[in-house]
Amino acid sequence: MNKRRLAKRSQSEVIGVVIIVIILVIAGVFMLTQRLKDKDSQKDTFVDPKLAQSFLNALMNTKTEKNVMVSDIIKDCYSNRNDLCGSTSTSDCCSYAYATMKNAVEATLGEWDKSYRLSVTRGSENQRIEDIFTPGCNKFSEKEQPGFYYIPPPPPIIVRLDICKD
Amino acid sequence: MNKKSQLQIMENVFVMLIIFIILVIAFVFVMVMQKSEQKDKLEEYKELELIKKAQVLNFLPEMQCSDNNNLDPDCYDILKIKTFKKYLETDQLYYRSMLGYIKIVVTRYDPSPDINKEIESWEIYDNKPEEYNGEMPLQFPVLLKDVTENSNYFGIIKLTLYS
Repeated sequence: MNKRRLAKRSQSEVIGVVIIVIILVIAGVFMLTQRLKDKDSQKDTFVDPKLAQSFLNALMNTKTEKNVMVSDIIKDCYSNRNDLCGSTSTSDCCSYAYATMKNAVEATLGEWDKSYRLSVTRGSENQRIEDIFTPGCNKFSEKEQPGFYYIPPPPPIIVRLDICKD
Repeated sequence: MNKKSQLQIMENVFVMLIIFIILVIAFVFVMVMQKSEQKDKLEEYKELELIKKAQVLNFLPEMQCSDNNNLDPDCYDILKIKTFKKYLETDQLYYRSMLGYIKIVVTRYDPSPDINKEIESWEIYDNKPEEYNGEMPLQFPVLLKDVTENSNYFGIIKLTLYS
């Protein structure tokens, strides 16, 4: 009777030790996997905070092949003036502005693997130039500091560029 | 009775042995973790140094557009770029110590629908170390101003940081 009780007691002690070892192993494995997980490199995720603003400042003041600034083409689009625009692939200022901005954004942010959304709006008016964006970069996405460019006269045409975080 | 106390002593010894082994394993584990953490921090520090280097363009008024001595950080003057490039071909001593191991290329890009291509490119500075572990490319969109033709172009500054 005494022997059986002793055997039972040592059994339960062994089980206790096994449980402690298992817990320690699980904790160790958990910590190791956490450490070994690929960390995002700072340099890979580094984005200049004024990238969006610099992009808009550069693009809006750029003169196109028609010797007209991009901001003026957008203004012409909103004032229904089309004599300064038109190319082999576009017929009016709105599509000309869209094509020019799309080319610029694809040659830069697109090439650098950044997600973006470029939109042109004026007050509550319907958009005349479609948004230029990469799939997955919408108004709910986490974003970097946005860039704005205002084209007068009031109410101003607002060009907004958002760069989404990957 | 003697056997029982021997057994109890053995049991105590085993328990202490197991505790000791667990403590040694935990100590080794913590040491390894700390070592790798230090390594990570060192890597992070190196990356931050590289990122700091990327701000170097803010300290190059030699190429930036200026109007009545007001510098525009997002605008680069093509005439100044060409002159600065020529100057660097003859004398790099000062800039080597200031800029370190980097490469600066300025590219003019025309996004017009009928053109849509790179028009011109200037390699301003390239100081490649004899041995380097890798490079970090950084690009910035800028406005390129041609004062002789009174025209503005879309440009890209490409920085390559050697580490």
